[in-house]
Amino acid sequence: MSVEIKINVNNRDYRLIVDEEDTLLYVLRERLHLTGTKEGCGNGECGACAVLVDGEPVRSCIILAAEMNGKNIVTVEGLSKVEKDGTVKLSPIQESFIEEGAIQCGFCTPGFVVASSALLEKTKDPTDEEIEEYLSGHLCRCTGYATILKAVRKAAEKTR
Amino acid sequence: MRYFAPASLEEAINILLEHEGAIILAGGTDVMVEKRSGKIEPSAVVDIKKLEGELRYMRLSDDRLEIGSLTTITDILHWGKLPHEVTSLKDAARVFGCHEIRNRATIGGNIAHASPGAEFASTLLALDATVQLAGKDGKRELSMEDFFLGPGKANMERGEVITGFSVPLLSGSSSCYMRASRVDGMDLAIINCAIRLQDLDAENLAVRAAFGAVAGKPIRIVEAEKLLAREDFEGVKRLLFDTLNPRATSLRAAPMSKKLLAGNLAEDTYKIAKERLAG
Ligand SMILES: Cc1cc2nc3c(=O)[nH]c(=O)nc-3n(C[C@H](O)[C@H](O)[C@H](O)COP(=O)(O)OP(=O)(O)OC[C@H]3O[C@@H](n4cnc5c(N)ncnc54)[C@H](O)[C@@H]3O)c2cc1C
Ligand code: FES
Ligand code: FES
Repeated sequence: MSVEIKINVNNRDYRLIVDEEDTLLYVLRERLHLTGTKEGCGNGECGACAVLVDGEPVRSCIILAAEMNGKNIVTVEGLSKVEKDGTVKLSPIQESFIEEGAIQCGFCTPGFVVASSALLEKTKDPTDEEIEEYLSGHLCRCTGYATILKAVRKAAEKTR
Repeated sequence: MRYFAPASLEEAINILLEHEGAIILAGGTDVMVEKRSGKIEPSAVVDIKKLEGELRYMRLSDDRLEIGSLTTITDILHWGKLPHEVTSLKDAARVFGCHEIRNRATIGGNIAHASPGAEFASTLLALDATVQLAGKDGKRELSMEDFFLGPGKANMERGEVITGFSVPLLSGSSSCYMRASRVDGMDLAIINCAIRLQDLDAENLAVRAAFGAVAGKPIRIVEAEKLLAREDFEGVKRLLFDTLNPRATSLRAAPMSKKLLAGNLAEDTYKIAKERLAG
């Protein structure tokens, strides 16, 4: 069976008919074509699918789209801004990931970037411990995490 | 699968009763994982998050803490008014999953799921909490001992909803929860232990000790409580090694390592609870 939901994604309102079984992740990727959000494990363990719902990071692979009626959702695509002349302005956290080379295959990156941006919304000056704790449920099989932590620290400095 | 989002408890109970195979959906961190893996195939999910106004609370009365079933683990972790007697609840919240899981996972879901190693199961058992249920015939309240029946099995009728938990706040008491896990980050407990201490008089302590993931359900071990009250830690280790019979089906550790770990974990947990009693 299907159900109608109204959601706001990256500052745009959508009215969608979704299947009752569809996950939020599926709707974002396959219906709205926002493929920045990745599916890693598909069962809540890796963080690749993290998005913000009403400002808080959650895992879109284990949330039904039907549960999202009336919610505000931000995906990795919503962190950057498109200027009037069409150029894309990346967020400080995205810039820092590039500058620090906190990426190898890039599959985990949207999840890390989305979660880190929520952390920096809350605390402008997170300690290393806070960053580690906040991101502890995100898995990266390539970088070894050191560059990721560096990038988050750098972004914090930039936003201060 | 059908999706329902009732706006009242009564409506939720009615939908659960009308639809054979319907289950409650709270944070979904167990339901969605089990549904996607095919472990469960619910005919319908009854999303109770519209009842947050009614079921998401933490309140203090004279000598009790009341916790609504839709209280999230993040709510517990960041609540500034948590009484020191029940610090074990914060211990459990701190090691639970990761930030994003804690944001969705509820204490009601953690208990209803009746997993033998669930963080709040041993914690609430050691704190002598009661669980409050609402169903078509009204409300009832059970001790945690009477609530857990076995792995994934709880003393709940079809159509019953956990509304909350009531935790006694004993004067001169303290508590601690610890788990043994393979990594410090996101992991489930190999085994866990929760302890509540209460000063009876200058020489005597009352101890409640609960253990998780050592049997098919979280259990209190009264003999271990007596030995802990005498601070006979070697005795506790021997007792737990000799008497525990962990299921061999556990994914996280062999029965033998659980038997070896249990006494040490009990000693560590007791010592922290004791420090908290003094401080
Ligand atoms: C990545 C990951 C990490 C995890 N880490 C931990 C951990 O460290 N420790 C731990 O203990 N657990 C952990 N879990 C398991 C899970 O998050 C918890 O058990 C959680 O508390 C379940 O709550 P929920 O609100 O998500 O429940 P749901 O998944 O919505 O429901 C769980 C069960 O309880 C029933 N239910 C829910 N609410 C009620 C209610 N009010 N009344 C009656 N029945 C109800 C549902 O029908 C279902 O059977 C983890 C899960 C994941 C995916
Ligand atoms: S894909 Fe959602 S947590 Fe791994
Ligand atoms: S960069 Fe490959 S998984 Fe993180």
